[in-house]
Amino acid sequence: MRLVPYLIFIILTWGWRGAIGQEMEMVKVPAGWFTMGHDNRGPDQRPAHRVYLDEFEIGRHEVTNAQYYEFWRSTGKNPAANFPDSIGNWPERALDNPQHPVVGISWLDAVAYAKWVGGRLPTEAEWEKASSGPVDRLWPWGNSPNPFANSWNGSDQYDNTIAPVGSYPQGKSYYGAMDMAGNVWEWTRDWYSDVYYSYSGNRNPTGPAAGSWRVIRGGSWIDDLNRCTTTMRLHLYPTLKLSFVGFRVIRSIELTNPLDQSDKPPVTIPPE
Amino acid sequence: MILPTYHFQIRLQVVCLLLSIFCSRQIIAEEMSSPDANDTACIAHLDRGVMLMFQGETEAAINQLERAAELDPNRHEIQYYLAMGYTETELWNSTIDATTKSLSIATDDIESLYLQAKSYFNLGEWEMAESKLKRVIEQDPFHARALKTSGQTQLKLRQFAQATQSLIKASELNPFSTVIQYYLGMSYLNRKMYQQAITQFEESIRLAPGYAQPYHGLGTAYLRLGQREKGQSAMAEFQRLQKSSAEYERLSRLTQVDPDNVEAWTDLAHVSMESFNYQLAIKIFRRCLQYEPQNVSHHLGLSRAFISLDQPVPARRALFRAIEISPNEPILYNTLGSTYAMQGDVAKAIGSFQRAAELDPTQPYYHLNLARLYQQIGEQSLMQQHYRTYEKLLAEQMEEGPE
Repeated sequence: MRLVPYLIFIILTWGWRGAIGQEMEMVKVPAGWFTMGHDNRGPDQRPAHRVYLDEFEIGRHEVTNAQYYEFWRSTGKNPAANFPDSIGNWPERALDNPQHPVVGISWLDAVAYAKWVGGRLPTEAEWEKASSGPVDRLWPWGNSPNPFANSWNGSDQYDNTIAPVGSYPQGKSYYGAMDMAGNVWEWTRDWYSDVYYSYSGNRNPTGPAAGSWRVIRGGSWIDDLNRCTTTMRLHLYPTLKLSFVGFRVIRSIELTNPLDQSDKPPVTIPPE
Repeated sequence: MILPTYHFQIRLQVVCLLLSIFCSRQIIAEEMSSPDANDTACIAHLDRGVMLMFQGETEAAINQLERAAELDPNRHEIQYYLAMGYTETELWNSTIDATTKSLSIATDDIESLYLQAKSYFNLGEWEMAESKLKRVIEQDPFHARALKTSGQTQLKLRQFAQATQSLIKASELNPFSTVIQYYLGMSYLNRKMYQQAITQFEESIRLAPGYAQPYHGLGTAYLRLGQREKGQSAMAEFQRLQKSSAEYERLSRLTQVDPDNVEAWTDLAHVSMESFNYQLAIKIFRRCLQYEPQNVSHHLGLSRAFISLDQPVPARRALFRAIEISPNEPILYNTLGSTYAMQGDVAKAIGSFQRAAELDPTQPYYHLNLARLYQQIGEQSLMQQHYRTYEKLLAEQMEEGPE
């Protein structure tokens, strides 16, 4: 008997997940080439290379506490971690700060959420294009080191803690995505390799075939603005739940490019 | 079957949602029971530890991670980050202990295995290092760091042909590493393949002109080929950089012992600039500015480091701060002009160089810069005018001699 309401709920709300997905505001990133990486910003960001991506839509904001709370309450799984001495425990902090990006979730939690809303995590390439735009930008808003992001000891309005999503409208990217620099690091779909750019494919690359760590992007409130650039790459074990790592969701074509998992030699950079 | 209207469906959904929440509260409460205090404390220490690692506070990070490991010794991630902290502080035996624990929990964690191999390498246990590195490369043939360390280990074991193979693979994966190119050169040098060695040493120097070792390799290769002049020239450059490197080591130790010694930090920044290590110079100049935010020389040094890395925008930002502090310093306007010139903004560049020349009419090089810019935009008469001024001032300076 106890299962009856569940069943009714599942049947009648089958389309609801889509509705949640629609509530999530997305920005469109058109198909085309962009320059990924940079020759002078760090060894693992080399070489700058041209990459083609199909069209996709990415969350305008990082997934919020409120959105993740719905998922957690509906599934009863993937709770965020507790940080009683800093940002507080789950789910209380979600109720107190519904518009903060969700943190304390592992890569696996992020994947589960993305699947639940009918999306997935962005690849590194998708994340970087959404952040830097078709032309290379050091930060999502351009090349000037303005305080348009929540960073460590920055002259921004938040004092070394998380900010609600969308608190820096001037910091939006070329395509309109917010908080792609600072606030919280964001999980991406790809495994990390420090030399991946030397042999990656140039069409919808999906990262190395295997690895130990998943890539995180964008920097966070614990980082200096110089670490919040569009090309900065860091990595974490996918099981970690940290108070400064969140994610955003993407909707796109299925990733089926087998070339990107092969051991082919470096590619030639295509023309503009 | 009668399909419900949209509004009816919504109402029904709400009712069912409330009903299901009510009925399942107990189940959810059980399923979502909060984790125990130990686990929460462990995650908090791990969180803090990784945060501190990200912020470069390695010793504080180790402290947090050790506390996390005490609370939960069965999480390989904690052992790995602990090992990373030990590696950064060159505690090789502690790294081996932590990675051994990590690998006992996650046997296929190649990053723990790699750190362990690196520790054995640094302890001079070449065979042990090589056996671990082989396992890393077996699991991940694209692990460039393991291939590089394997090449270095094989050089130590005098397995020169194997070293060449490992380092060629490493350089294919990471063609931007000066260290890999250098060791590849060394493998050729030991195999008496001098031309190939010269190519690799030259590539290594091209990638990092301030790295001393490749000059020694290059000099040796030329001398063995009987090209005495080229060999001696490379050796002289090696000695110059070695001297600079020794000075760098001395200053590094000094700043470690006395981290508030701004003078030592300043000298260290200048040595870094001299040895072409601009990224490091940026870090050190920033550190200097934490101590002396009003020091114009630090801002200028920072801007020069950015210019050397072809980054005019942050260079200009540093200069604007310097000009705010000292608005009549000609060198600041001259450097500002260079940043505009780098981006092709000739009008602003001319304005800046002119300001510099106004503030110090005796400095010939401001006029040379102006002459070059006027030449660029086809203003021949202005170009000649400034070039003549440059020559005149230069001649005057030479007559006066050094102060």
